[in-house]
Amino acid sequence: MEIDEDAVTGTVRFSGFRSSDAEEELLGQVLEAFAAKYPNIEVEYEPIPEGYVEQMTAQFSAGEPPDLFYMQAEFANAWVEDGLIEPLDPYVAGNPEFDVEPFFDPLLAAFQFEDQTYGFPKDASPLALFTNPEMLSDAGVEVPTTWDELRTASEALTSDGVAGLCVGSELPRVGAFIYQAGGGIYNDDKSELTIAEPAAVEGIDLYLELHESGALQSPAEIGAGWCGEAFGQGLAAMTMEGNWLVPALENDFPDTSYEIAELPQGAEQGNLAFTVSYSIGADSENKEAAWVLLQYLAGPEGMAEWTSLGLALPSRDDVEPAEGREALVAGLEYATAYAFERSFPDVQGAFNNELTRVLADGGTGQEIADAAAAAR
Amino acid sequence: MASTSVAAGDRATNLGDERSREARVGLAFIAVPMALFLTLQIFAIFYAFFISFWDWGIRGPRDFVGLANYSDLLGDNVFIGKAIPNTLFYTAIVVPAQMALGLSLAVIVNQKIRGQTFFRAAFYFPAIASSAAIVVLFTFLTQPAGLLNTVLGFVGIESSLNWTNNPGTALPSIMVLAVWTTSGTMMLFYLASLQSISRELYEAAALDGANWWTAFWKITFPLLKPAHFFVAAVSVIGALQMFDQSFIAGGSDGAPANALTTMVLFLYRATAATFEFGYAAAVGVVLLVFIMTLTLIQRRLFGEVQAS
Repeated sequence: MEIDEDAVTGTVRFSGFRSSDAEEELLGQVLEAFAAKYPNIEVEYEPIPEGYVEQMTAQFSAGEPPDLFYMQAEFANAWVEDGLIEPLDPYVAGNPEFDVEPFFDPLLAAFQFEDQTYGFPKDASPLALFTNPEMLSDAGVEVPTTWDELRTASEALTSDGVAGLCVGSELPRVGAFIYQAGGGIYNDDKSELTIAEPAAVEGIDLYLELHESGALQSPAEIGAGWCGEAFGQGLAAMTMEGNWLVPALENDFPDTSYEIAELPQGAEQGNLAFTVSYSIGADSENKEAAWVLLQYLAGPEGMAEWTSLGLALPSRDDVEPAEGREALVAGLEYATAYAFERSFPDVQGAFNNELTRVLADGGTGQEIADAAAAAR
Repeated sequence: MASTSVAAGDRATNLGDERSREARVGLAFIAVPMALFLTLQIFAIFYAFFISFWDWGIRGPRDFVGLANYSDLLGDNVFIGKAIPNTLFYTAIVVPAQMALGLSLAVIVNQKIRGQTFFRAAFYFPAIASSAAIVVLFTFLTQPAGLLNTVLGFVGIESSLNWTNNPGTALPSIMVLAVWTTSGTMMLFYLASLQSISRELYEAAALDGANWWTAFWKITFPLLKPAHFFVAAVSVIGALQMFDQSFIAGGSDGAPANALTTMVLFLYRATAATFEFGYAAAVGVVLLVFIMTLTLIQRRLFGEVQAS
């Protein structure tokens, strides 16, 4: 489908959830740049500050979704399956203005179903290892790059009142261990749940082993809301978090120094990437104008502006990440997008619940994996 | 009311006109809320029944599945093993505790004591605070390094328990919180009834030599029967619908380990996490059955009473 961008006119209703004032301001600048380039298209920005999924559900069922909106990878499968999302391949085919090639494959794959693409990733959030350089030099340890180094380093860093490593007791963190062990939450084409297979269980067992030794603690045990807070307060020497931790540390804990490294490697390199797409609704009113906006926002120009402050990482390799984010972006090469099938929320819920139970009462990685698999 | 200046003969017809005019105005006034009630409540209930027989997605019905949602629900370990037992356990403890505490507070503030108004306000205070804010505050107090563990430490009990995040203590902790926040409202209901009991009964009892305790059990408690029914019904319905405390303390997962998964939280999860509205509607119908059954049992227990 050929779209002549300059001939498209009208209003685009654009909705997203908002995460911070800084991001909101940045988005405003991006939209202003768009308005200058495409004066015929008016963007009506309708942020949804709370209950994004609930509000979008209501708009979908009323048949009046916004023209362009954010789609969280974790819900993509359900939304696409219910026929709510416009397939975008026709807009891309024969379109010289939009190149799919530069997007990181695992991120794009999160929005592809049955050979159709339903969204383009607006940015990417992989995990990385955040370390406190002062604590590391006091304990005389180097930044760990393998599981073995992670074991020794986190034990050496653990002292009274300080956990060597803080990792949330939830699948969005433990999942990274699963992929590093050479296993997977699902198989590559996401058709089968493989979390209960030996390789995957090995990753869960690493978490339990480190926890058993006392070197790894969950935020609940440390008494923090999340690991970022524990790390910022100096209650943990290392943590596995994403790009979002950077502004949190700079705003709330300016005195805590930190370094960012790639996640330690197990049998394989593994990482999780969280992502959100720009998508158009099947029932959207002004799809052509929505596409022009999508093309700009997900294109090199819009994304360069959007990721310029480092609040978000680019999802395409032709846009340079902000300074200091190299280790995070490096992890994108081998990351798995944290997006699976429709019933995955149940699997994740069962996993988190069983992990919490095992941390309190004891148990094995296999038990946790089996409970998760049973919830499918 | 009809004007007093009209002649006596006209008065009757005037009054009739006035009556029907009043009736019309009255009907007009209730028409709007009644329409809202019928569409948003009554229609919604029957519509939920209808949806529960379908595989129903965001865009509406996909397939008619008959009773499949209900049979899936009966085979759902989380629903049968966690959501229902948690909800019933919560109800079984919280309701009597709320009633007992509410009644005690009502009896206390009904005495002629100094600072009566202050105590009435103070006891009611938790009920007007936002439950979201209270739950967040409560999770802070019950953290490993929180106030609760510190106080326990002072009295010689060493504890580093994260009360709302431990599978064993999460639900009981939230139950304590619920009793504390809602008993003020129960107190208010009881207080209203207490004040309608005639003083003469107590004076007569005193002449017969009854002490305070006997008077309480022989006069106050039985005469509060309508209040008991009302408070119990309101309290049971509220307990069966428990959602906000669980959701704020444990998220939509009902963490830790489904300890905080209630029936309504389960229902929420079916809509906002997996978008299975047919399944969610079936949960709603089961909840309705629970609430109706328990309310009918209460009517039996407390006899046929008019809830005031």
